[in-house]
Amino acid sequence: MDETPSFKIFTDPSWRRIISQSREVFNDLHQNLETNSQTEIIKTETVNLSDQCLDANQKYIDIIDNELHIISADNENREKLQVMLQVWKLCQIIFIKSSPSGTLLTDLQEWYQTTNNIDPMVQAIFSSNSENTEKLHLDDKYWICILLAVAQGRIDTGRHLLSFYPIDKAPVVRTINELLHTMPNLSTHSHLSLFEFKAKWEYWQKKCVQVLTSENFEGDDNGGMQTICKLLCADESTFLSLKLMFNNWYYMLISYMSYANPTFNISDLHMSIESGPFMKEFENELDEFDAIILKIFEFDVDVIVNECVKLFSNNFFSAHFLNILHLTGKLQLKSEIDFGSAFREENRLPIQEQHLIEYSLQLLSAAWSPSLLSLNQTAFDYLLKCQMDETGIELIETYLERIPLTEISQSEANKVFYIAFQYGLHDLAFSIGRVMQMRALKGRQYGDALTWNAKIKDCSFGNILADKIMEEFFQSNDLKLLDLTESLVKEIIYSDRLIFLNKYREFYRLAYLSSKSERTENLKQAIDLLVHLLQVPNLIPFKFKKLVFFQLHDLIDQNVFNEDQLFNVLKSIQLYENRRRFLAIRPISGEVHECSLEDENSEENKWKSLFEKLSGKIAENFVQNKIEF
Amino acid sequence: MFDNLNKTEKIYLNFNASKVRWLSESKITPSDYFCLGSAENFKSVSIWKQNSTLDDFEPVILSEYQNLDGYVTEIKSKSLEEFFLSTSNGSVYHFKCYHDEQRLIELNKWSKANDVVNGFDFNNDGEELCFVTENGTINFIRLRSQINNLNDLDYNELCSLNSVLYLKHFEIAVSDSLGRIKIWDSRSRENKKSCLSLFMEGESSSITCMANDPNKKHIIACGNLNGIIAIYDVRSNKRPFTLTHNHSEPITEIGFHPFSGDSLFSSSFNGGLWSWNSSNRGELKSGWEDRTVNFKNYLDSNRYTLNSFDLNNDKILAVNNNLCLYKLKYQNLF
Repeated sequence: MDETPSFKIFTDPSWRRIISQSREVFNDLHQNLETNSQTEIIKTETVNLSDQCLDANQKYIDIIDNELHIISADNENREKLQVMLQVWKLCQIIFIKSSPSGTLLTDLQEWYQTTNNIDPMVQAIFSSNSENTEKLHLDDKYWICILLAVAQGRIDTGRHLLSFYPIDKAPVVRTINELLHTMPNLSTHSHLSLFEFKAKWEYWQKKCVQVLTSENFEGDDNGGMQTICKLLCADESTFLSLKLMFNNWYYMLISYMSYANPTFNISDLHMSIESGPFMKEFENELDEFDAIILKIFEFDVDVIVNECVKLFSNNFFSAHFLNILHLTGKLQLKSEIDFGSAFREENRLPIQEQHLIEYSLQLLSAAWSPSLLSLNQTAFDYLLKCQMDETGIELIETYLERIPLTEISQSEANKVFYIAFQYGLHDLAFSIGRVMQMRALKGRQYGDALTWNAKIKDCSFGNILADKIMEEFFQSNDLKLLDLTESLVKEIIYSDRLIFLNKYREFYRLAYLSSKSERTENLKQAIDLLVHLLQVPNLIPFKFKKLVFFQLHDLIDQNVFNEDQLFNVLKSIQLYENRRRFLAIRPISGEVHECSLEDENSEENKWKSLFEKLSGKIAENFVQNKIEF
Repeated sequence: MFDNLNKTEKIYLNFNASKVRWLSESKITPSDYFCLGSAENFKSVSIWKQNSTLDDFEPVILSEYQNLDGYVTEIKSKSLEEFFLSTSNGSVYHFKCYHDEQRLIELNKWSKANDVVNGFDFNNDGEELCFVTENGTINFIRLRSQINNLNDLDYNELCSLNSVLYLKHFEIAVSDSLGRIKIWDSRSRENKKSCLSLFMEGESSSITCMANDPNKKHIIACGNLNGIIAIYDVRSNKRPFTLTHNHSEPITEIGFHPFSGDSLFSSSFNGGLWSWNSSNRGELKSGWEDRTVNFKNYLDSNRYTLNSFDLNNDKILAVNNNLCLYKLKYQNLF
């Protein structure tokens, strides 16, 4: 059953922590490199670069290490994380830290010590024999512990354990102890050149051989002392015989090299792998993991690209590590060298970007609902660094387009809009705004629709929205509909219908909602405003004109119109009737349906009454003026 | 002035928290307990305790409740052991925690179907709780009555309401997505009109958060999606005093200093935790307009959206969108 791997593992709490912390390290690294490249320090730049990369890689390793300390022993991620830690550390040693002539001993020994930690075993020995330490040397794990300690280069631990062996029983203990004590240590002798250290080592090893051949190993139960001595002499067959203790060919190899040739470098390592017997010893038990370790030792970077991805079932490791290698300029894949440029497609992405994209896509598929926006944003951070042909940005856009906007809350929609805007995806942001404003309109949340509309300044929808609001207002007379525009005055200048809505609101407030003391004054202002509105061509939508006239009708009695205004009103009515006749012959959709009052009769009456009042007022004014004149 | 005495400490959680709140009777009473409400598709609230005697910040989780019906949109604590929270699925919960026994119990739950509760507040006596929703409704809960008493204001705003604050015993301020703050009288349920409507001309961006001055309840600070903070005095209709950054990142949370209304904190999408300080040169009664304002970013190493923060005595907790929980400590004002 070949299932496509589900990356839901990324939503697991431990993984979330690791992902978030790695993301921070990744972002910080790239941010620092960018700011560095902008300053003019040229000389120190290369040094800084590799230091920073090594730092970042170490931080990645520390993140996983910390996580292993936090999670419980039976956590299902434990094994995988330990394997990842092991591989990552080894890759750091071989691919980043090592140089063609540099010694690998200290780093590899440390790797052996931390990934095959004998401390628990040692502590167990001490705790089970805490009462009578004379019996300590009889513990069945005693000799294994000492041998492992010596094999791993933990000389102090070995000596400490050895001190519990009764000296009077086997006097050779003292000699062995002396040998261990005088063993030259590469880190404490770092002031010596390699040649000098080698000389010192050979001298010391001659003494070991002497002890092995001449000393009396009386009282040496199990032959433990002899084995120790043989290890110190770098006796190959002894190493091979301890196969069960080492458990893996690479541990055996490292251990052997640390005694046979402590100043070994990477080519020495390769030679011993090829010519040595260690791998053959484990021949029948080799598995994929061993193959990976072998490839790493052989400096084959391709292993990260292929096998490690399979091993961990995701691209977390490969994406980060290849990125580091790329930045330090050490990324040289065999596949690229062998095939040559003729075979390479022109627009194929560089390998490290491929892996970054893979990783991001895996993160995105793990966040299966829009509610895991933070995980998506993590993925976006990585995608942004894939700048070849803008692949990264395009993928971000594709993903954001698929977020179901109709199912999320307003605040989440605001976040998505903001992210799109932040990445410069203005078209996408605009379309998000359009979906949201339509959604609000359908749900009759006119206020929300207005906010979205004002954000994206969509003129045509703004007009539709204004019409809808006015229609509802004329039907329900609900003031809050008008009030929706009170805070938007300066922003809705892109849509003339919205401007009209706003002006109408001003008129309405002045005309009908003023306090008694200000009434007349405000009424005059209101009429002035409305008449001005009537005069602006096409400002008042045709369908509302009738209703506006009827509102005027109610105000005429208040004695606040002046002569000019009355004439202007007449003119507008004339224009309106012209238009009406025109539309009766050639209907234009959208303008034909007028908002009407309840029944035709009352409408007819209203028109009649309006004309009566208008003419009455004009006549009155006329007469008055004549008299005054 | 505020000097950062101790280093900023941070730990990594394993979920994203949308709200962090200290559990205490008031912002002045020091407390070691705080709660975290989850974001996104996690639906949990958890209670934590920090050991103030330790040098390092190592809070311990005491209890957790994982059956909320949505992610957490607001938490407000009533006392050391009681708090309310609202969710994205239209519910308000009342919880009680027993710290010693490490238990967290849901005492009560009120729900409104198909809605998102954006914010709530309760008045000083703890008698009434008011919550506002995305569908534009303002709802009241009688906390002390025997029956689950939930009723709403007979008024449905046509835009989403984002937060609410009690100014006086019966007066609430409600902010909405059109950038307005409306003052309502909560006594009458048939209110058709608010007492007052405040807004900034030219700035109609949705108001995301509000806070009131600890000493003068009529001073409200609010932050909006354009990154502008406005300080209103609700007694007057004057144009508010505005504070802006030199960028327009939405403001996620805002809060006054626990002891004095001269200092304000705000958090935004680009991760900064800003402190705005109006220096007092010994003058008694002057508002923000009359003084110079200094500002400082206390979390400039953080580049991920700061979801929420809370102040208690001289400590600040903040959570960002990359699973981090920060703790900062400040010298007291006095």
